[in-house]
Amino acid sequence: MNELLSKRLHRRGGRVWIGVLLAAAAVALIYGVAAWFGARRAEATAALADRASAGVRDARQSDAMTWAPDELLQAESLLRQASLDQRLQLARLWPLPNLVAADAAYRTSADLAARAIHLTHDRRDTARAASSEAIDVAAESVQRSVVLAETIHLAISRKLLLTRAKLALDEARVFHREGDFGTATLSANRSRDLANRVSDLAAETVARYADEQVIARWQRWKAEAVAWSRREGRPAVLVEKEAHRVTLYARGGVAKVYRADMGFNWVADKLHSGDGATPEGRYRIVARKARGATIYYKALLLDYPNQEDRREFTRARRNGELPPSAAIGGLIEIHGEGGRGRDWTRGCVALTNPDIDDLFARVEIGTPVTIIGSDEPGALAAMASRPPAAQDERK
Amino acid sequence: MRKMWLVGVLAVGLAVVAAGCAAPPQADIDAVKVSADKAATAGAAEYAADSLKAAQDAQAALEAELKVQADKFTLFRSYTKATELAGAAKTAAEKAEQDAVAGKEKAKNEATALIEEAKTALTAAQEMLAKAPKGKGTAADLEAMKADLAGAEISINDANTAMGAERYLEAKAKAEAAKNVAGTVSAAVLAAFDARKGR
Repeated sequence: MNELLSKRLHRRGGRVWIGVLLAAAAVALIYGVAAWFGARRAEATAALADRASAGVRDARQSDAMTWAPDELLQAESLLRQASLDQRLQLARLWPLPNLVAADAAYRTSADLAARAIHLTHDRRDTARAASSEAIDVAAESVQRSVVLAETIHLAISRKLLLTRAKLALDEARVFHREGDFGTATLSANRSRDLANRVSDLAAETVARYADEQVIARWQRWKAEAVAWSRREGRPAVLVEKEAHRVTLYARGGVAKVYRADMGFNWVADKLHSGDGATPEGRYRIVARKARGATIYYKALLLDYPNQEDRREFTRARRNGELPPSAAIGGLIEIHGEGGRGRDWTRGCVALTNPDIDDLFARVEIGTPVTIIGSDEPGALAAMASRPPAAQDERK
Repeated sequence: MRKMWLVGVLAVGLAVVAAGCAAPPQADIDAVKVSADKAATAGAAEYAADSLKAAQDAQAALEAELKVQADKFTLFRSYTKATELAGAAKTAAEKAEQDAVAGKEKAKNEATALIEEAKTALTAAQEMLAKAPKGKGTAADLEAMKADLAGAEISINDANTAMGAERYLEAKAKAEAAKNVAGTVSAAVLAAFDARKGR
């Protein structure tokens, strides 16, 4: 009996062990299959991860942080999130991970990185082009103001404006070169605005050259000078400041024309000593200075200031337009040592030495000299009539 | 009975050891944060963007590892890798800080050098202008050049102000512009001297 029980127990124990072994083998088989599929799955996700990482790296290297920061930061955030999801899934005991969310995040990250690169190229090219254009516009405005400054004497405060415009333009070029296109555009616009202010102030200075009443007065003076020459049969001299021209009339006809240098502030009508302006008015030659009697080769002294000049000086001083120490000035001449191609005198009219020789021989004490701005609207009138540049170029 | 008692003691011991090993390396994590803050304060975003990005990536890897371990059952957690990552993140942050300091110093030195060059050019131009030939018809030109040098001086002062605010690119731009203007004036005065010699 005991032997039979023992045999039965022995047979049952064997079957249990076989059952356990079979179950373990089944689990191992299922686990192995799942692990195989899990590995394939993980490989596919790893490939997406590599692609997304490379895309984000490329976006950063292309300076997307400057030009498309939102897209880049979003791509990086999704990349981090996807990486974390992937790792959490792979760390699970069950070897078949759920990588759907990680895959989606990797794909979106890669797409956003590509978009960031695309936006970077577009925005940087646009900013570069805008900066170049702003610099070109500013350079034109500065150049225009420089030409004006050489044509029209600017007060020191206005010269300083022009200098600031030039400095701002140089700064813009440095910023552009360093790739800071936004600041370059701002500097260039500041330069343009400063240069335009100079142009606008210069336009105020030359407003008289567009004034119909002033031009009419100048035309009348010219006509009267020519008529006098015709009537008296004697020479008369006409000085036209804008044209930089001295015309000798004999018996009412043009006898000779000379090219002249004027005062450095020739545009203005002379008001006081040292202002550099060539006066406008009707004068006469009161002295002839031959060689040796003047440092300017030869000279014809005019009777500046005349009564009208004195009246204007008194008015200006009374109105506080002049400092108390200002003097009316004098010694306005037509002299030699000219022909320099620029306006350099303190108000005199300078001819070349051969020309002053010629004029000297043809005129005498008492010859009328009429000095006008221009007998017709010219370039200065056009400048004065131009709308303010600051309004022109602001879009 | 004795065997049961021994098994129980062993199980408790194992649990205690597992709990001890499962603690995140908090001191190392805190050290990473301190280093990252120092890098940010040193201006790494502006002067060491690449190094800062590497430090940020290292910190993200640490945080990811901590999260992975936190999600595991206590007995299966291991923070050995997290400790290594914390060390790497701290090193990367320290490098970002060093690179930022070096980058800022480089930008500052470049701007300082350019300002000195501008000052030298301005002084030279002022001295030349003082000796410029004066004579018939030079008053207006001299006045224009004086205005240019006055503007250059203002620009150099603005450059120094920008230096004080650590805006080194702006300082460089203003100094370079001032240097150019001073150079132009010097060239103009030299040309006037040459013209005078040529007479």
